[in-house]
Amino acid sequence: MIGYSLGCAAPALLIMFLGPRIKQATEPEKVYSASDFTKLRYGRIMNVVSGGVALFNMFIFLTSELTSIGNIFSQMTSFWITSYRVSVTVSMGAFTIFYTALAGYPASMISDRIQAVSIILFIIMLLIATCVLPANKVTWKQFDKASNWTTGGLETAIIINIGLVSSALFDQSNWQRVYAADSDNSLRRGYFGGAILVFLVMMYFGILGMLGYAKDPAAYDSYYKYAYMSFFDTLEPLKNGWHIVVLLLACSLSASTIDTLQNAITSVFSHDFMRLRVTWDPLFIARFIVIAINVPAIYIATNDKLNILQLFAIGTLST
Amino acid sequence: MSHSLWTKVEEVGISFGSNVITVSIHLNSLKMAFAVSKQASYIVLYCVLSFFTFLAILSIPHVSKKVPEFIRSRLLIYGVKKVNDESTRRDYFLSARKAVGTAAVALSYFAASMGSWVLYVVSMSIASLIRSFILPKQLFVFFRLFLITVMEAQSSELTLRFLGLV
Repeated sequence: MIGYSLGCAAPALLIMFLGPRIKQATEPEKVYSASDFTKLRYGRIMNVVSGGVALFNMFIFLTSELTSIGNIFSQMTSFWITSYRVSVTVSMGAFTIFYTALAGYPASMISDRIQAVSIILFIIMLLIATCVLPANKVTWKQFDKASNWTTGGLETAIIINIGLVSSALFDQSNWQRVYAADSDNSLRRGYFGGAILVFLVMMYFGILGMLGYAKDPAAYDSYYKYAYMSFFDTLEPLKNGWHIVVLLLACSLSASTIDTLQNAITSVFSHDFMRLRVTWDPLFIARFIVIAINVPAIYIATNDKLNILQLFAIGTLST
Repeated sequence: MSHSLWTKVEEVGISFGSNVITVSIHLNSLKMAFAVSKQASYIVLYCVLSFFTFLAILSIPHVSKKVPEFIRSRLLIYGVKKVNDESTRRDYFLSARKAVGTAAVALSYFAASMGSWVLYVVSMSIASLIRSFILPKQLFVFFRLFLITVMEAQSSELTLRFLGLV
């Protein structure tokens, strides 16, 4: 769990050091993403390769996010009808496409700010609600069984860190922030603060998952309960009002990631279409790209047979 | 509370291809009972999305400039003030270049990194990790039984000996 949390925070720590250097190296040009840096430094072929990998990776993440929000809504309502799940996924996709196409990257920065604050508030509320609930009380002995130091755990932590850092370096949203920051100091301090927040929140979800497992390990070991549902296991005894808070949290989590990815996908092309000598407005092309890439992602996400973990594995392997 | 793996097996299917034997096992897993109504879930979804759309509209330069300064400084990125012509408007739309400070970078990284997948994947990775140290023996016995059953029908004893299954 510590390895996983560190893996999610590690890209920010790396970009703290790499970001200002890459920004400086590309300074005279107005660039928008790391694939623009590869074009200036290594030429068009490397630009196409790195841009292609980045696009594929971000597209997979976008699809998995859209799949995940539909599944969470079905889970919380116990309404496993395909049309309902599709309606949630399509609504999430349509709204985020609309506001991203309308206002661009600044919309994502502003909504991220509010989304981050609301996510922190919802997490604190759920932390208190789940931990004071008698049904979620476990003994130290039970919790010990769910929290071991093992060599396998260390190996997994190393693999996860390598996988997540590689994947995050191809996520162009991390590089967009490098150019959006008003100074190198803001960039370094911002990424450091972000890394701490991500680490703490991942630990929170991890500990709740362990709590779910510690309550009833035999059920998880025998597949009576699925491992990926262990977080929901701690939420189940809560009253209905708290389940609505979970939906609010899921919506905020999802919208913030989706709008950022939508802008990040556009950024791969931004440098090129800003230089196009055509009569079309570059912003029209940017909006067209947002729609053209998101519609297939929504279509794939509404497919019943998709597994989120498989999607993540494909995305991470590509990097 | 103890649950035997075999008692939870709902359906087992074995199919034989020319070179492949496929074994499918469906387990009778627990269905959790969350009961948020469909209407309430739609209200939550559309209220949240409408609110974020409203925020996005506020970030459009010519709208943002009409928002009072004390709200803009709390809610919005201040780089919007620099948008004066068509070229900077385009650049601002695509990159918000040099427009945000420390807090915005930190919160943006945090919000973008935490997708709704964390509700599933973090629990999954942890629980799978724990299970990998508890179950290998049980799983080995389980699949060994299956392989023996399937291969006895298909293979010679020599093959089974070669694979160490008898």
